Amino acid sequence: MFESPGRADNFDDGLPEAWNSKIQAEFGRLSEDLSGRFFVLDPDEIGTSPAPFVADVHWFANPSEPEHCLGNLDARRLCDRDSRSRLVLHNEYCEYAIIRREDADGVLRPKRIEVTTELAEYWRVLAISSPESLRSTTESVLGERPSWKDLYGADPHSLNADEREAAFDAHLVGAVEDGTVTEPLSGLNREHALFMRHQINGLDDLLFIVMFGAHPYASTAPGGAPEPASLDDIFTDHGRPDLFCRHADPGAAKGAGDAVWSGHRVAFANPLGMYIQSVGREAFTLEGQAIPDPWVRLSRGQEGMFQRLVLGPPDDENAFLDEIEVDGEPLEGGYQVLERVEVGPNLLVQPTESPTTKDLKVVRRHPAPDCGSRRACKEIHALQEAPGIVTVPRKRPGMHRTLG
Amino acid sequence: MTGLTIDTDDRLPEGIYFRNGQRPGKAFGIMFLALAGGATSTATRAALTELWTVYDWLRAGVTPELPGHSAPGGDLTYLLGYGPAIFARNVLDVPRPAPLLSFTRPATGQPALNGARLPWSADSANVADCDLAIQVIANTQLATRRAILETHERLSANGALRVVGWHTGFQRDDGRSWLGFHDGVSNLRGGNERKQVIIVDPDTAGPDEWIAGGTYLAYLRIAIDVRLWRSIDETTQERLVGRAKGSGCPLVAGDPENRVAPGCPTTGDSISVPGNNTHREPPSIVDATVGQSHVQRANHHRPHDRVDSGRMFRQGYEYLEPAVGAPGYEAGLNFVSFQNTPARLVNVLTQPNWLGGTNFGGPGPGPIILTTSAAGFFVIPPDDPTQPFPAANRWTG
Repeated sequence: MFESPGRADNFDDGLPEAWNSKIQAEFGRLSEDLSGRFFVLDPDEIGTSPAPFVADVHWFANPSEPEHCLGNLDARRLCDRDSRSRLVLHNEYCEYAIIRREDADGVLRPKRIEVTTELAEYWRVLAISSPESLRSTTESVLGERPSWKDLYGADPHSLNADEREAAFDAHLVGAVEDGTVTEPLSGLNREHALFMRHQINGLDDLLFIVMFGAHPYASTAPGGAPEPASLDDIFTDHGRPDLFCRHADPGAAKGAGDAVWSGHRVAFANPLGMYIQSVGREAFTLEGQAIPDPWVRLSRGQEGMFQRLVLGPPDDENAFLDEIEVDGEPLEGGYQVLERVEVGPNLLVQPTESPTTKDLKVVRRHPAPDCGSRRACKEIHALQEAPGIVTVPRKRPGMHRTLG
Repeated sequence: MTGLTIDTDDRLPEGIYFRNGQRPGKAFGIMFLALAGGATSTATRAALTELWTVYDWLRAGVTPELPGHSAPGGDLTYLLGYGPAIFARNVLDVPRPAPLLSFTRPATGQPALNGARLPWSADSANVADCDLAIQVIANTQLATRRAILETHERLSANGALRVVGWHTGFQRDDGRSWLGFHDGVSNLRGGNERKQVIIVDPDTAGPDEWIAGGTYLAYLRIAIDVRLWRSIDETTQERLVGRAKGSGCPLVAGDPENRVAPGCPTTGDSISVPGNNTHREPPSIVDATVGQSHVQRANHHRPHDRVDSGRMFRQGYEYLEPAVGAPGYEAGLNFVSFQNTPARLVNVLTQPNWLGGTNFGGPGPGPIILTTSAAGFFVIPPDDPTQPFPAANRWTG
């Protein structure tokens, strides 16, 4: 039984069962296409001998695609621009919101950055099964007790499960309909980063990419023996060269794939979640000194499993975020923070037998994807040039990171 | 970056030996230059033009002081880098490229970069924090040293520029470093892989379009405390490095005992023997002990074309020089790397679960085995044969 992500919450009124049932349902659905003998969902199935250990699977959280298309400076500006940028671009299993406040001169300036890696599905389970838990968890994260209106638009006790889910999605997640993104109605997860709401930062996507990666993909040079296939060939051969252009998908798939090739079984460690694996806090300085400890706050999980980072001064201090320096520049937004944050799941691997020829999944060789091409960057250029119009490919229900 | 086409490498200047089959010369020198007070753009440009003419002569075997006689040119290459400081001098018509940054000011024991565990070895000035750098590489010590001497002499006569410091180095032909371990083993493969790491992409250069097709040079003068290193037992050394000392094979486990990758070496007794290419790159699935080693912290096995891979093209040279006090020498590495943004190296040096969490390797900060006395980043503009020296057309006046 998986515990709450990060062991951040200690709920017992049916929530663990609901969360595990959600995981099992997604796993079951994905298993139709992606099951293999090297991946098991339940870490207890892996056993203790030989001893399993946690693999090195993490990546930098700043969105990679806009940097391929625009370069670092413009990628930074675009990702920081507004909540719509978050919906379209923050797709590395990490999202952020910039909290702004007026300074003494009435100028609106960045005060701090809220970063989250929390899975929307977990919060949705809370929303459906236990409105009180959703409310108290939101309060513990944001420091203020939210109204039912902010969370659901109405009192959830008068709503059935389907209605609660729809109300929660409308108010805290947003929606994708006919290729157009609609912002969430409530500011709680628009002005703040309460949990991830990008359509491909989901539990199903996380399961998908690890299960997808946990196979011995091979390619063969003319006249040569099969050898581990390159990541770009793996993604391109499955019709998704775009996945190669992100940090997250190659990171997760490679971690699982390398484990398999080197004779290991793979499972998610308990609790399953997306975690902040490192924060390069010493890169941030204030007047040449390390920033005060209270300006870097990790939460929503136990040590090694934090899912939330707030970086910057609290409201009762006069300082502002842009007084902090990183790499000789003022810290102006969240992209610069994410360049110093690594995220990833905790994957357990256990030595077992190496793949045999029969296990190999042979992929063809392809030209490397051009992550900066006009075609690959079409949506990002459109967002940059016309901020009012946001069009994203329609998500197939329940499966975001899919094969073409 | 994956969109780079083959012709962009034609613009990468010489002195970066990234092409398949290229081998850098055995002797290395790097000079750090500063504009003299009141130097004009015109005078400085003239000084650099003269230097490039002199270097051309030296490579061709011309000996200006001995008319009618020649000397071996040693396949000399020379490379000009623009440091952060020069962009504040009002001599160029382009702003400082945004990725170009400076190391922190030297103070003994303080980190060379915020977040790094590589401390400064002295309070004295960082000679690499300067306006310009010139790297010279040749097959002979004579060729590089003649270039260094002539640089001093020509600049002395011109007066617009002065040499504020210089370092030299040599190549070890055993493939090992002063630590006694194989070094540079998992450097990038040739051709496209190196290009994608090195070259500034024209499509994403933005306002720094003038350096598209060029690169960034990173230089660190890294001293190694050989005596301290040798006081550590070999088993521990291997865990810190992440390789077996004798064979160079990468470790996959360090607990309860060191274990190398299965089947390594494939042939011979070390990975430097031909036929061991598959073992040059450390495996990504290793136990927690080896996961903290130097080679694992320096390479998290991500696609090389990504900034977050931390991959760079290394071209370093060892040094050994006299020093005051015990042990009577300073041994170390002239660390030189080329990358399309300094961020690649900065991440490696500063991120906590990379080398930002340790001085050299291992689970914590560890003993101070490495220190630095000079460090800098420099823009290397693309080659333009119509110009008398790289980016000459960017000088005002």
